[in-house]
Amino acid sequence: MENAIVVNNLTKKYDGFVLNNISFQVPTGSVVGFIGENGAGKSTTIRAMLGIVIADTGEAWLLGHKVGRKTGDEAWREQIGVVFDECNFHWELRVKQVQNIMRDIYKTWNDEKFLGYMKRFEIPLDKKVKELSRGMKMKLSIAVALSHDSRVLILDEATSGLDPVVRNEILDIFRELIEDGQHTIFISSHITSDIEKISDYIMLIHKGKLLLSESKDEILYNYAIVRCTREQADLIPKDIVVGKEVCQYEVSVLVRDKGRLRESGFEEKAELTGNGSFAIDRATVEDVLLYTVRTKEEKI
Amino acid sequence: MKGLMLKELYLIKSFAKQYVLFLVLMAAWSIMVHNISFVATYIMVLGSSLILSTTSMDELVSFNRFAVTMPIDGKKIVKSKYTVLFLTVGLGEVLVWLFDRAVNLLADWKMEMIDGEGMIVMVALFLSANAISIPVMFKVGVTKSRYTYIVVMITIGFIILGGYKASEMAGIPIDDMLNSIESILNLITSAIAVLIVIVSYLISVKIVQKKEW
Repeated sequence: MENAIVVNNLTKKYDGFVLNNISFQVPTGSVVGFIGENGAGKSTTIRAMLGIVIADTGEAWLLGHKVGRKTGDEAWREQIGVVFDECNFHWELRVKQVQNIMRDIYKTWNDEKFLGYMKRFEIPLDKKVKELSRGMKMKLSIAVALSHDSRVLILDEATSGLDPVVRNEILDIFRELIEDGQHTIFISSHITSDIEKISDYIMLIHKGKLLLSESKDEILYNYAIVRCTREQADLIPKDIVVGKEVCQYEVSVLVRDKGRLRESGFEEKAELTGNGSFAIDRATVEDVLLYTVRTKEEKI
Repeated sequence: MKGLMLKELYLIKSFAKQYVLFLVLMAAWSIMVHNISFVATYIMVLGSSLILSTTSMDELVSFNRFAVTMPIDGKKIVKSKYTVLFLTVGLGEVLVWLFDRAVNLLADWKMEMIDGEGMIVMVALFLSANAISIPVMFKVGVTKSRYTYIVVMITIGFIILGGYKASEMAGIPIDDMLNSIESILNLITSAIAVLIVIVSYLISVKIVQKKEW
């Protein structure tokens, strides 16, 4: 399977923040959820990936084209749809005017598609952007991103600040989009439930470093939270411990390999301690984010 | 670039009503006081500053960050702004000319009509002031660019007034001298303005191509 997005050793230094040597690949037809807390480097990565900021070192390739500022080499951007966390159309513009502007910018602009989305989202064409709710503004931005020949959709916190109903509607559109296997979605968000619903792969960034890049199914299948006593927690093999949360009477440990946990004989040994019960629960993407970040913070 | 131009024009349209209303009031006032020179200057200032207003609107919604992701290169972003500048300054000039002719034709008072050469100098001055402030606009934003524009206009004003005053004090008949070389002076002023605009454009393109939005 060819890659729609390839990022090699992207580094960008700011005062007090470094995007540190980020590398990853996104296979065509997949959905990648890019998670991390606020200020972790999600937006900087996306901006460097799109050429909005110029990376100090490293390179990004989108659909086989090297991202840069070379004049006369922008036709491939017809195939890239981008949605940021705010609507980038001035609030005095009317929806119809946005359509007219975009028609003249994108050669592959499809009026029929755009009008279809406007009808589906119940956005009147004569409304000004300022008259739309935040949800409607984001839907307008998404409609614009999807109304040209976009094969890669890049969303930077596009669902943040939206209510669950609108977020779900937007996720439905993304699901429809990827059905043909030709479209690729790269979505950054700190709303991990959205990421868990839609992504094939999860990438976790923390303080400018990519800490995790794995298939979601593998994460959900292999990762687990062990709730037990401190004594029982000591029986868990150290190499599979991602992070732990110590409470007064209980310890919650995130492990990265449920199979290895079982093979280590943890369950039998924990029973033998006779020191209270334990549970092995399914870990969510949010658990992975929280435990990983917390552990890194403690180490720092 | 057509799409970017369209966006500029839509943005201008969104606040044009209040500008037109204000211009009508100014025009009425200038007719009452039998002097249109102030409104003529005001039309030119307004026309040439529209580009700053639309860029300020772009900045508010980070439009250029979004534009960089589109099939548009930095040159087109710059070109659209300069084209709008030429259009608005040109339109301002036409308005001044029409108003001047209308007043002289319809009013029962007469004033010295603005001639073609005077208008060329006016356009050259406003274009030069804008051309100096546009690279600043791309580099550090609209607010500092507005200050640059004001400083350039004041500096030009001081140079002209200061020159007049100095020659008066030295007993040099500056008006006569200028009248005798008016055509050459206009040509030089226009040539300098064209040069400033070309250099300004090239600097703006360089800034935008390296700019991180």
